[in-house]
Amino acid sequence: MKKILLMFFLSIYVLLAKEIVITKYIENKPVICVNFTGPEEINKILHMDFTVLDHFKVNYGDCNNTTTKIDINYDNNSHILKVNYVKNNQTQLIKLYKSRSYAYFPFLVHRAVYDINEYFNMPSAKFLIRKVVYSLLIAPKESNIYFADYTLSYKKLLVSGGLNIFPKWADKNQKEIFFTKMEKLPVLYMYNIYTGKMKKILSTQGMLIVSDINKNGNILLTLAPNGSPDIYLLKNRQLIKITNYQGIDVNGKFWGKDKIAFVSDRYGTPYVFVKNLKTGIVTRVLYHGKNQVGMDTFKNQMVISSRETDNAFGNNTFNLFLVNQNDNSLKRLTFTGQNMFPNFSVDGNSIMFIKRENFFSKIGIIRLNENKVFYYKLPKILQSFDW
Amino acid sequence: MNKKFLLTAIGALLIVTGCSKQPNLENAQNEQNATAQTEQTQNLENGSVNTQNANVETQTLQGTTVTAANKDFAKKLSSIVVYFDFDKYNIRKDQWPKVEKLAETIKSNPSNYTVRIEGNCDEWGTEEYNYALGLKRANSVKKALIQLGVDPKKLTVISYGELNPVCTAHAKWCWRKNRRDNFTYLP
Repeated sequence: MKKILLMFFLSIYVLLAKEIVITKYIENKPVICVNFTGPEEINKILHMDFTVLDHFKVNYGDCNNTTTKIDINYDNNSHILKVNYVKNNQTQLIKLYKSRSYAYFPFLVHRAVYDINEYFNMPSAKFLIRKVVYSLLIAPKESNIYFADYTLSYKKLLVSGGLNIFPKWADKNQKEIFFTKMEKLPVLYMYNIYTGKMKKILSTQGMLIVSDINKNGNILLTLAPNGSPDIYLLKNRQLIKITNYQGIDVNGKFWGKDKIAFVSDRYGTPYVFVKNLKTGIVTRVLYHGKNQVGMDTFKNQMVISSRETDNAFGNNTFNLFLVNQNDNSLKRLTFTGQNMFPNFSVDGNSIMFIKRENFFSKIGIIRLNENKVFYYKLPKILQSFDW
Repeated sequence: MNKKFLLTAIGALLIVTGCSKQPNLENAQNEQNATAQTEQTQNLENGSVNTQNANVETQTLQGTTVTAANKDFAKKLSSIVVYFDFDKYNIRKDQWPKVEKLAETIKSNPSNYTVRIEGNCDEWGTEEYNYALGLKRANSVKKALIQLGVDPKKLTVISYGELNPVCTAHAKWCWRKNRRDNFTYLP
């Protein structure tokens, strides 16, 4: 009994201690002064990066009471972004970022802010330097695949002509993507974004989508060779059928070491289920909401978009929930609006999602450790995206 | 004095930058790669031309000719649209007569062709789920047509998910129009 009590008080102490540390961390953000000279739109991206990063208390231009100063200058002629780290009026470090074209500046700014964050040994913020691929419907039966930075300010057309859908990064270095092209049959291609080289991987009846790729290079696909969409695992060039249901099973995601999560309509409406690969048992994950269509995983964490109201259309509420299979915890991430298509960042610290409000869409970025959400406008509705 | 200060500053700068971490120019490098690629393409255009092997071989096409009758048949097919309820792929009672009419239309035209059943969805839900839903909608009608005596070899299915809307307003009446199966004549 004494042991149990001791454990109880110890757990409370640990919890409180953690809470205290977090509070301390938020109160003691490093103060830096940022002094920028150059075009205003570059300054805008710089502000956005520091705001979304939320690791620093930034004074812009007012450096009187700040010992750490970052002088940033963009030269329009040479397309060079120069970052000068100054402490007590002494230059500590100079970094230069160069691109061939002016339009590429968002990537230079993101890299510079990422490096500043690293310089001060703050928690990783890889989302800043991740490239985004997305497909956009431009006309009925016609969608293009574009390449962008996380703010979607930079845009470059990668694939066009017909229906090009479901782009997904194929490697961690973000050099190649998988995407599906609707030809006579759906065809899965691998596309190198630097060389433009396209390689045909697979073609089948029905549907063909890459849903997830793990660090070992194993791929989860949705295929429907007999008209019924199911989850398949492509491992060592072997295709293994994971689900076998006559209805709809889609959106397979690796979850932890031996589980695969997916969306299925086996209860009449779509909900998130998980299959344990060791036991073969399929269970529902979150008993909440009227349906759950959007879902993503990162290691043991899962984010689910759950519809909480019962209208078929109109003022429905979709909210995001974070499930952790380590401690079976559940956390509500959003409270109002239509929050859908959640997508974890590569380090799992952030979740990108799309929020619909009235007739507009916004991109939301949840910074999990900072407990904050940031939004920015989305000019058009994306078909799908990966970052 | 100014000269001395300048020299000291340059010296300090060299020491500092020399000792510090080197700038990571990965992205900038990427941009250079992308530009280099364009230059490579430009280089390809600087070659010469040789028409020695350009001997064209002529062959008559053996494929099916689209006759006026087939055109009428294609029109009849495209005029039939089967609608579905929200998030459902079963055929509604009120849509059954359309499926029966479609079966009769196909059976009364015995020539060599394929009918492509195209499943479509409204904009709600993720695209991957909608893509699957569109496929199930197309397959529902395919199964019904086979039950009504249509040769399965004449039927093929495809899903466009939410990527083939006939209506793009964000309204209930519009979404209803997008939850549908279309039928296309393929010679």
